[in-house]
Amino acid sequence: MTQIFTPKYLEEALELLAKKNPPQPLAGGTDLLVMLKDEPERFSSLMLLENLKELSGIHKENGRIRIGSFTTHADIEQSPVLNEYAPVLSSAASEIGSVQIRNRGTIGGNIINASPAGDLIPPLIALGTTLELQSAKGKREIPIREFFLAPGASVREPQELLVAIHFAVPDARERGVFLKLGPRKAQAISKVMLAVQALVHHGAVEWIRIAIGAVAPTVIRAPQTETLLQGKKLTPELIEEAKETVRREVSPITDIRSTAEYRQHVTGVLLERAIKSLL
Amino acid sequence: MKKKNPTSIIGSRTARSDALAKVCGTEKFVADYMYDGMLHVAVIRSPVPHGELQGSNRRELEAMPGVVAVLFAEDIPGKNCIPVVLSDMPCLATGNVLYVGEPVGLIGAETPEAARKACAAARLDIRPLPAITDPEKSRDENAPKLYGDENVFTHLVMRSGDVQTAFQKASVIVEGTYRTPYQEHAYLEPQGMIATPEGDGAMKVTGSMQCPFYVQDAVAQVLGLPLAKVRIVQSTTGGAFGGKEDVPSFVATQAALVAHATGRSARLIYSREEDITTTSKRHPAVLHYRTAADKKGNLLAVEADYILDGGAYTTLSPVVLWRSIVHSVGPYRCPNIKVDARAVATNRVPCGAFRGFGSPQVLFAVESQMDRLADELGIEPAEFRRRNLLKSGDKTSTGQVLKDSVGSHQTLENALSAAGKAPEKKVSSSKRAGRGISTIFYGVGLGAGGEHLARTGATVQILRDGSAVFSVGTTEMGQGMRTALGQIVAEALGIPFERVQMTATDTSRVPDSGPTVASRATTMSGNALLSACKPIRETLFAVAAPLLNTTTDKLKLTQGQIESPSKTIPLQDVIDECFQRRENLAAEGWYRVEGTTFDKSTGQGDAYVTYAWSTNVVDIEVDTETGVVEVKRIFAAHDVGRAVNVSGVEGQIEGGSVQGMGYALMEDILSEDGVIRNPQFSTYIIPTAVDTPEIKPVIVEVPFEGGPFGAKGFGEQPLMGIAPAIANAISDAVGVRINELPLTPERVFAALNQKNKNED
Ligand SMILES: Cc1cc2nc3c(=O)[nH]c(=O)nc-3n(C[C@H](O)[C@H](O)[C@H](O)COP(=O)(O)OP(=O)(O)OC[C@H]3O[C@@H](n4cnc5c(N)ncnc54)[C@H](O)[C@@H]3O)c2cc1C
Repeated sequence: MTQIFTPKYLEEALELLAKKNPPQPLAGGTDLLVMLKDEPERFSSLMLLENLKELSGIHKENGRIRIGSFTTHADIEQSPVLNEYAPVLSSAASEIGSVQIRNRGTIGGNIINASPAGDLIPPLIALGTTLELQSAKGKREIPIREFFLAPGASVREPQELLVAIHFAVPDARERGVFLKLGPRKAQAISKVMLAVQALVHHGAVEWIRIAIGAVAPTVIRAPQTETLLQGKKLTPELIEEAKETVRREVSPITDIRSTAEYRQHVTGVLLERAIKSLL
Repeated sequence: MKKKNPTSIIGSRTARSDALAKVCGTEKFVADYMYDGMLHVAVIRSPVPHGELQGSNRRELEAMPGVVAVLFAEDIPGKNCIPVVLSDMPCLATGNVLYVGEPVGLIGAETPEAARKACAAARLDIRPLPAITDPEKSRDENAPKLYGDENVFTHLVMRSGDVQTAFQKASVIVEGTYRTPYQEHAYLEPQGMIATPEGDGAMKVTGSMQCPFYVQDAVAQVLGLPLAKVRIVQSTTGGAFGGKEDVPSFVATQAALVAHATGRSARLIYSREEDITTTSKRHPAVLHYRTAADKKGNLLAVEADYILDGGAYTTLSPVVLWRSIVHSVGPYRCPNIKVDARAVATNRVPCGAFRGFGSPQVLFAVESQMDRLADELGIEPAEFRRRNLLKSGDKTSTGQVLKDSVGSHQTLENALSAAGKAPEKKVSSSKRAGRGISTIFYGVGLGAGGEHLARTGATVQILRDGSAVFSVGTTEMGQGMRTALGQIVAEALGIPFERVQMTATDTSRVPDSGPTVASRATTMSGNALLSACKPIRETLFAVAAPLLNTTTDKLKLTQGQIESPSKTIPLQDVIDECFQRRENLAAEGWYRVEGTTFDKSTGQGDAYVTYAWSTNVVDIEVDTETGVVEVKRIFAAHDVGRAVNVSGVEGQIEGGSVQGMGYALMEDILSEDGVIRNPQFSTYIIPTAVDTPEIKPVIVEVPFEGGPFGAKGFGEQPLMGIAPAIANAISDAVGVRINELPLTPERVFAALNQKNKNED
């Protein structure tokens, strides 16, 4: 029988995690319960996060936006703060799964699950997010770019909880777009998705961040394409060159969801559409 | 047009009597039932596509905690076979295993977990054998022999006229090879059964199913019991689409074997993965077609050669193949025909019934060929169909002269006028719009291929308070039969619909009524119910006549009353009088179909008693940069004879259209070396509500004399013509023709790429 812990306070949770066989945290369960259906005894104990107030809430303070790790996709989708300052993130949340999944699934679960197709990860990378991890020993902050190692794997230690994520409040002139291509219009795991956060002034790119999912073992940035675009005017020729460059930067595979060739092609198409929507 | 009776419930919009409980989640399905001391069953299955079974770790499994029974083929008390069309499929494998997932043994345990654990611990000693996992290689000379000398379960032909001369004289000929994939039924409720031993050595099995009499036959044979000692009760069934035609027979025998061996109730509920990997699907097909027309646009000849992948055992393949060949020329006049159709054996999961039953595959090829011919001739696709579409008095491809209820042309014209002007081609810099059409037909009922089963029974009873209860041998599976039949009884007896109740379908209530397949339930059980209502009406009239001072021939039964030309009397008064006099207000009804014929050597004959007809017009948009196809609108016209429940007909059109759209655009079972790689709804992609386009049902009613109130069966038809209409729309939008389903973005993109290369 699996043991269930329901800590009321963060310290209590961290203490439980500091034990020899730490329990597996359970947030919305939309990834974990799917796994447990096949392997019911995979974890000897689970720890529910729902009572931990420290993990909830969306706040804008001191020039930063902080989102508690237990915040649901529905809350992100509907947050006035995020809709105003980080639409790249709220629009991505609005495309996840279905209403039911968005009501249960959390941003923390999406990050820790570390899927290359996790839809919130590219927007978070594009926003330059920092992750706040905490264990009984203390806190640490890591840039999200350095967090993922492989599909399902990250630098998180089993004793650590993801408490919150934060990023600097974007400049009011910045724009962000999220584009997703899945096998159908809802309840779909992305074949490719892409997030762009940029500051475009008079048709020229002051700076840009591009993050792409489902085209490599982890969500990736596209540094060469970013450098290519940096400081330049967005002409049709430049956009064409950016499409070719980004297609070289991705390394998709053929699997049961799509083909490598198609994913590579569509990455270029999505980038073009994203850039054009910035203009 | 005949005027409709305004007070009649036939032709109304009646809410389904089972809808509320299903929507509110209060309905109980087989997995919701528990019995005292009930055991849980799990099935030990073959991990390989082909091999020789040499042993197992049976002893170890028997010693595992919670395990009560471990059964293999040698423990079967009766015949080790699941009777379908033939009897080649064992209940539990002996000798060789022929597909991944084939049942080999059974575990009965105290808890589902114990059963699952024991199942996972099972070790089968199997010597692997070379396997056929590609149906196109099944008939190769050096292929291992799975069935007969050639791995062909059935070979059917259709011959008429002189194809060779026709092709010589033709002005245009088009030729193509088409491929269609597996389709998974994706019913919400997976397969499940509970078997309960009853006193006197009898066995009762309750579960999710379409065909209780098939299940009864299988359980009786496997347990070695007389049919009289096996009772099958259908539980509320959460979708079937053909997937619960033959499969429940083996699920039931698996549960019943454990119940029989232990004397305890035994429940078996398939997991989704188990259901998708091991139960029947739509047959994949490879179809070569050559089609010819003359200058004026008359269809001259069809030559076709195709295979359906039957999988490891025959199951329903012979009859699926039969329906497919009858539909293999489409609903057109065609004087010269040569078709060869084969169901071949592979080491893959046995395929079976699925809405359309072999016809969606051939119709995809036929309707694609029709558009290509129209294109070559420079005739509009709709006009080309108009010139060739069958009408009353014409001969079908099987040589059957069509008589009444031929609404083919009405569906074409009504669908076209509902659709109106086609949308502008250019939607945006990257999007192009297109319109596609398909005209199809559907042979109603079992036809000559299943005439021996074409009978149904029913019982009807008026109770003391003026309510009525009825039983039939066909099943409700979500298609709305229960409501349509309730309307028929309400109309025939003048009793309000809300006071008419159907009992759960149960083999002990009515004689063997055949299967609930082939869109036959409303017409067949409807007719049996009308035949049961007849003597009841006669009794009511005989009692009422003296009370109204008239003779029975002057009486009419309407809602709630019996009328003579001068007076009326409340129906309840007549019912009271009947009870007073101890008259019998219960009766049995029986209906059988006669007159279908089929000559196997030529494929000619009166294949079905009647046909339903349909035209689909589909508007789509293609994203030329991503290859994504979005269906915008479907105009679906169907000649149903008479719509007993208008809401039910519309529901079938909407659901079938979406299921057809899934088949066209996204549904694909990926099978590698006989192993299904995507047995989950996260990887087997079906359309969601968000993907559903605007669907406009167009109901055409050309009454069928042989059906209750003129109704014909049509529930399968809405799926059948959607895929070719979408393929034709893609061709219209962007000028590429893709001959392989599903029409995924990857395929559309590749085809567009190829076209661009060719044009450079
Ligand atoms: C039907 C369906 C549709 C879906 N559609 C999408 C989609 O469109 N896009 C998409 O990206 N995903 C999708 N998902 C996946 C899933 O919903 C998301 O990844 C979701 O964000 C996971 O969050 P959760 O709270 O449910 O995580 P859980 O399942 O509770 O946890 C996931 C993992 O994270 C760990 N974890 C959770 N919170 C913490 C924490 N605070 N600290 C440390 N570890 C933690 C858990 O231990 C577990 O390993 C779908 C899932 C389903 C079932």
